[in-house]
Amino acid sequence: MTERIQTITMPKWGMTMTEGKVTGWLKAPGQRIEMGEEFVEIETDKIANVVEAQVSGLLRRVLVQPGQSAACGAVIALLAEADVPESALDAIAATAPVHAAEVVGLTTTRIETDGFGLNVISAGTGDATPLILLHGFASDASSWMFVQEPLAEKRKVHAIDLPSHGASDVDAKVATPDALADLVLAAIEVVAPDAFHLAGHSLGGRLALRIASRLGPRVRSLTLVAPAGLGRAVNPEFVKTFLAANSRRPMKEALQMLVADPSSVTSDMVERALATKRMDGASEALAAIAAACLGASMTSDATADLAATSAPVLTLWGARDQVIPPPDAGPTMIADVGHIPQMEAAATVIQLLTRHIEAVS
Amino acid sequence: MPQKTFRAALNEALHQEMAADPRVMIFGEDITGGKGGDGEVDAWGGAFGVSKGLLHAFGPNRVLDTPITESAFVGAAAGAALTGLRPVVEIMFVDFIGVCLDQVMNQAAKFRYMFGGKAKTPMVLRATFGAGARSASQHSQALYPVFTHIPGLKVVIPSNPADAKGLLIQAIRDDDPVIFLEHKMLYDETGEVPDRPYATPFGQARVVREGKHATIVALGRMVGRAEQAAKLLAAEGIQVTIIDPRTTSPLDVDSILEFAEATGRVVVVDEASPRCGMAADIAALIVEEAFGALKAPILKVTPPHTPVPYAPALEDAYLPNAERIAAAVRRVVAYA
Repeated sequence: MTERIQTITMPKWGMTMTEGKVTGWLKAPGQRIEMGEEFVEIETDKIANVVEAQVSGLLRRVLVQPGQSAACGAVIALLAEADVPESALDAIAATAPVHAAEVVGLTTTRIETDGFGLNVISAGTGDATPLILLHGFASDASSWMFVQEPLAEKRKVHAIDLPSHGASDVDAKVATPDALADLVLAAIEVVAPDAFHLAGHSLGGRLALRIASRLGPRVRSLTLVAPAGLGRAVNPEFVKTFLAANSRRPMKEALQMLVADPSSVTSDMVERALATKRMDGASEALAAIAAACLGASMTSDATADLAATSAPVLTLWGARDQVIPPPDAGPTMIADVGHIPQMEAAATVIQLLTRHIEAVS
Repeated sequence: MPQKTFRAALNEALHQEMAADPRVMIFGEDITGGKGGDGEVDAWGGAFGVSKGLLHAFGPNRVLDTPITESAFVGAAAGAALTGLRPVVEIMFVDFIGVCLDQVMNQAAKFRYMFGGKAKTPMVLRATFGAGARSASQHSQALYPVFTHIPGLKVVIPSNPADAKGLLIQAIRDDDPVIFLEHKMLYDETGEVPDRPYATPFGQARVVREGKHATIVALGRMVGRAEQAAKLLAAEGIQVTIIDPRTTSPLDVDSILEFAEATGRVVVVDEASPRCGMAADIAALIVEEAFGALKAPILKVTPPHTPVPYAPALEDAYLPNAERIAAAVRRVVAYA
């Protein structure tokens, strides 16, 4: 009977999250939940988010009530068809104590190449071909926090902080797509010396293309999320506003351009973005990267890299992306989403990315 | 991101700025720690452990123990700053400022103005402040309103480890005299602190959390107590915004007004004495600039106007706590 019961666990968003608080259930026991549907609101010290279902099923039992907290990985609800008896649910609920913290495997590694350190956040232990995630301009590896662990069920998933981003070293001289790709590739050689799947967002998508075009069949699949170079020109207003923003309100304006729903930009996100820019040398380095990678010349290069890539390519784009407006034809469009689908529509991205990877494997 | 204590964050800031700029030097009472005791040098790293390791890293020419003469070594810091060094001087307890206030108030604060903008005074005066350590009334005061009152000084009151590091680096790089106040009960608090150097600008408040029903403005150790109050209130369905100004001079008036106007209900929490304190000052600013948006009187949560008591039970009762802050928020929210 137990195999007919699906458990829903408290997600882990980033390295520092140890527990989350359920602030509201959008579904009640007895209601069906469809994959991709928002069904529960969870809050941490830093972030509040509505969670989308990664499975479909009938919600039978809520184990963590609104206002209660649970450790990451703890079971918060049970899904099962109507003919599964209550006694079977009781048995699962009894053996899945809400407050037992499961060890959730996010680790950080620092990889040095010629004295330049890159920070890598890794999840998963499985033997399947690993997946590398490259974030976008002015972001960091935590932009994958809603998708990294769900993608790591069978494989290791490594999210790399790009040079001059996140906890990686800062250097304004490392700014061109080739210079950035060289360092990223050196880190990949350490964490994934053989074949790997590759996914990149925005600037990370541009770098992923460059790497895939160089490595040939070693890159088993390529997923590009709103990649720089393949859509229309990068909105210069975003780059200008972000680079000029040194305080809360201008930074909030810049970040609101990234998403379809401006109210989803929290003070914590704004503070985080400012903190990143305040690292010694980071502002100069980000300006140099923007000038070298996000200008008009990149389009022809990206198209050439795409032509030289042998891996199967999946391109995802938010239909309401104002930062890199999508091209007229080609990508898989995600409705009601802006420039960061992996945060705005995590379940959809997980589903599409998983299907793409599995199709190759 | 690595977790560090408030103390370790300050120590890292001093290490990084001293390594980056040979003009940076530190001096004060016992900052090389332990010397003269059992002969071990730098056993403690100063009275509160903040300067640990600096003597070994940068040597006795840049890390100096001073006699117990605040009037001399604070004056020396002002002079050193005028001549091109960037001294970080430590007063063990801010309460001792009385014996050297002239050097701060009439000298360092005035140089830029007296010399027509031609003189810079890049000194940092670090000191511990605040009640809670059972140290009695001459070692427990929160004197930042005194410094905030004096034009020409910048006044910094970090509430968490990440800000402690970024604000101290900014203080050292700043060309004006900065009074940097460390609440002694925060030294063991931990939080995420990036390893690399970064400067957190003055005059920019941190929005600690956002809620629609009321706005709490809090400083230093009171930020944590406001967060505890916010948790109590959240359980009752009251969502509060907390603003931590981080510096009282300059003061981020724009952010305070923005959130005062957004909620219309404001509580200011201040560990300083209530008369002529920051709570009174911030409340007055809001009334002057945002009166039309207010839906309730602004409430202040402060200690009583009395010296900090020595008796532990009285000292605990003296300080604003989560329950008192929550009670004030309930009152402004209930006000019709």
